[in-house]
Amino acid sequence: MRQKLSSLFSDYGMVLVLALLFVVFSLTTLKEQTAEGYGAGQQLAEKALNSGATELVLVVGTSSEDRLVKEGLEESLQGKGVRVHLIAIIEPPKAKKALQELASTVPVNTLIACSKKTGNWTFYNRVDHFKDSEVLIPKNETVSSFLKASNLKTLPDKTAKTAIIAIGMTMIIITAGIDLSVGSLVALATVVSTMTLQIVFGNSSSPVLIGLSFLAGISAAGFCGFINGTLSTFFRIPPFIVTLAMMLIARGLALNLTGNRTIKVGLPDISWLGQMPNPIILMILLYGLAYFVMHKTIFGRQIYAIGGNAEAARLSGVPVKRLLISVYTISGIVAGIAGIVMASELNSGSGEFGQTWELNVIAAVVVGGTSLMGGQGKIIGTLIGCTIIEVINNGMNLMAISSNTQQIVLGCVILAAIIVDKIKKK
Amino acid sequence: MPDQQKLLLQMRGIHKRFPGVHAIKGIDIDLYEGEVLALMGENGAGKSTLIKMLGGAHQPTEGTIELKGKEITIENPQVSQDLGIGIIYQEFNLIPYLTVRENIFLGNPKSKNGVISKNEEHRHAQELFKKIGIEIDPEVLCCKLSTAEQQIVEIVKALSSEVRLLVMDEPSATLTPQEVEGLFKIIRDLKQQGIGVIYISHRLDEIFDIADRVTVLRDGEYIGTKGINKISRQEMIEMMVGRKVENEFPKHYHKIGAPVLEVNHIHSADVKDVSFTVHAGEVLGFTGLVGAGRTELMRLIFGADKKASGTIKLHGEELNVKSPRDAIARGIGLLTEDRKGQGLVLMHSVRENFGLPNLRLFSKNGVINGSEEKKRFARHIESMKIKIPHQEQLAKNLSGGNQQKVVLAKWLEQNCEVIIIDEPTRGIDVGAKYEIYMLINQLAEKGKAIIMVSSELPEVIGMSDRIVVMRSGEISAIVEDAQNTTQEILLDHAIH
Repeated sequence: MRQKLSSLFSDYGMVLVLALLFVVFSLTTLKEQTAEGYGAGQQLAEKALNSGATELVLVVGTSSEDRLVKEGLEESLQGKGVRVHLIAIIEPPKAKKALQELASTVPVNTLIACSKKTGNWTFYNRVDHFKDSEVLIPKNETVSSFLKASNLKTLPDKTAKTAIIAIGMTMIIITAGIDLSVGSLVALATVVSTMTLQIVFGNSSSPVLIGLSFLAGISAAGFCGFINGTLSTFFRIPPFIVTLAMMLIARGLALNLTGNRTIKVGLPDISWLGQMPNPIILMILLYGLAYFVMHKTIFGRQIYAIGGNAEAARLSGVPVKRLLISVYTISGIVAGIAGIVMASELNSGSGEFGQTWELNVIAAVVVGGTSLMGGQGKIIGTLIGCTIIEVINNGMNLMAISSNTQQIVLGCVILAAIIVDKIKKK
Repeated sequence: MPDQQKLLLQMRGIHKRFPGVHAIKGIDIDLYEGEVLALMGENGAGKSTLIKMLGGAHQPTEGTIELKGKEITIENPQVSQDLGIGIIYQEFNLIPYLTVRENIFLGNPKSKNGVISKNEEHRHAQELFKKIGIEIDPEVLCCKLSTAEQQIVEIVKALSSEVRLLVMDEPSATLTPQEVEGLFKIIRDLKQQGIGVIYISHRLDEIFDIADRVTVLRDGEYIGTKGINKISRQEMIEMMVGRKVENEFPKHYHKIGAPVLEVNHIHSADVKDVSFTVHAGEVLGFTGLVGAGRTELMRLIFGADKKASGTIKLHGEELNVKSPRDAIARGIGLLTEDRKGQGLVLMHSVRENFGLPNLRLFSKNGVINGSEEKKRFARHIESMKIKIPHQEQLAKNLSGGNQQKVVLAKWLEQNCEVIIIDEPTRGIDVGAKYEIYMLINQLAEKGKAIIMVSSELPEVIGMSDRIVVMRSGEISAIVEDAQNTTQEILLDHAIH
């Protein structure tokens, strides 16, 4: 047991780093939430969202303080699909009457939100229609904005796409290669899939045709990956150069296809894949598959061997060229999958999507402990690496650190990861 | 003889402790001016650590070093160089895309105001080459030189600064007998100039040829020092191994079977019209000078390089081998001469290395059965007595002998009928050599056809049934009776 734990830490020391980051950001984003004014409105909105309400009755007074509460709530709820019914009256009896009048237009036991002042009133649950309504009253409390459920929920959402791409990148880096074209392949996949749906299938809403257009996007990216692999193995061009060229070609192609426009898909049907938690489920499935392939199959073992010593692998009968082509194709395919997730999420395709993603993905793989020299690395480490980078980005956003400084911090994190790795190997 | 000579280097009570390892346990070394001291010992005896102390890469934990009667501390390589200690490490430290001149003066360039004076360097380099009587153009790129020439450049590099003491770690490992003779001529010249030489080699013949005295180490301990005239080959081996050694080459002769592999008129850039046959149970020795095309020929047979023409038959059936993958599928295995560079994935575990060519034998639909792999490898560990703490040990942490056994296990699991072993005991110490020879015997007894490529003539003579001698890509002779041939006969075929 103890040995297992220690090997877990040495293999995935990054888990500790991640835990540490959670603690640090939880503490640094602690904020005093006031029960008055604009902040109170935000607090109410947050609580309302957490309770999953789609309608609420807001009861406030007429003071300027209470007007701020109203503004805070309304602005925080904007675009979140919650209907707000306002009662802004200073005397309780009149307010009660207004509430009774509302009963005919809102569902039974609709959530009621109050300001600090109107929270002192006691009649709410005495109105029949609101007998079991929850009554939200703003409080003075200290909350970590990082640990808030609403924030934590956004984390995996953002991680999913880069993490999916990072699967292919990890495999490639384990073979001592690199793939700079993944960001462009994401864009190409969004463009090809949305254009296929619009032009070839005439904006059909049939799930089969949507599926086919997604497949077209993935295939386009996969084909580019196949070209990467073929050129770098048969002409012995360093993958850095081949994929750099492909990065330009695919990006240019995607922009040309769309004529620099964003392809908007009118029908909401394709947004299914991009809705939470579907990208996460997809990501977990893909990681499960990748873990199995890398650690349990001949294919995986041979990929490690190629990265460790390509000549020794070849002399042991490993089909080096064929495997390298497969790995680059896989990288293209997973970039394509990330692309269709993105197209689905945004209901659109564009040649501008996925800019500089390759760098984030490479950074995540390196932070996850995969050696750029090849032969060593773990697929789960990459997932942790992706999460670490996302957590750092998110935490810094919450701390209101400027994006310039964020870049500096991220650069330092990558350097630190590599130095730690070097020290560990000594 | 040492009595009349001046003491150059004196190391007393040297200890070196690394975390968890007591690598050197009280070693004394004396070196006189104009003397060659052979430092002998198996791998892991502490020779390299000792040399690294002289080179400034390590510092002794205990003990004193005196140079010409003055106590010194060698903190770093620069100090070592300034003291006049030149070290030629086993692995060459030449930069391939720099010229010979640039490599020689890399550490201490001849310059004026920070600008390198090319003419000055060129003149100095030519002088040095003249001094040792070998002509190499200082303006040639090092990657264009032969191994022997690179070795000479290393020596010249060491001599480019004022050297009083020269350490050579296995300088002959990649040289042919002829080139070794050239090297010895240089060493004798250096002796004349009063330079003290510490010489390390696994080849006993050389030691008796060049050394004045021998110091033997074993497991980091000092075993003893003897004058070269006062010790026999047998005694030296016993000092190194620490027990009685019966027979250096334990060859078993037995009945040879039917032809297994027939090679007919095979041709490539480096190999010219080569034909030969190996039989079941036979050890066919291949020898010749470096560059004679032996390794290249083996790579053709194994499908690692493309042949231009010619046929290869296995049991009378023609083989169409396009890649090592094909060769392995037909039952041919190759143990490369460059074990670390081509035979093993050093950063991976020995189990994974063992598994690499054999994965299909213990997997289903591409999924590896890990426990079966372990079980099969365990059988080889047992039968070959591979010394490893566990199967997850990294290949790079193994001694040469154990590494060779792991590579052999790879091919035995494949049940190869033809096993090609290129330099079976290169970089392997005396004790482990014996075990490798015994394994070759066992394989031959089982009826395997074995091709053994070796530059060490005693080994070829001692272990082969028949011997093929190659010269510039061709077969110059096939010696049918290996038992009754001599090194001179083989050399004669190899050179003329």
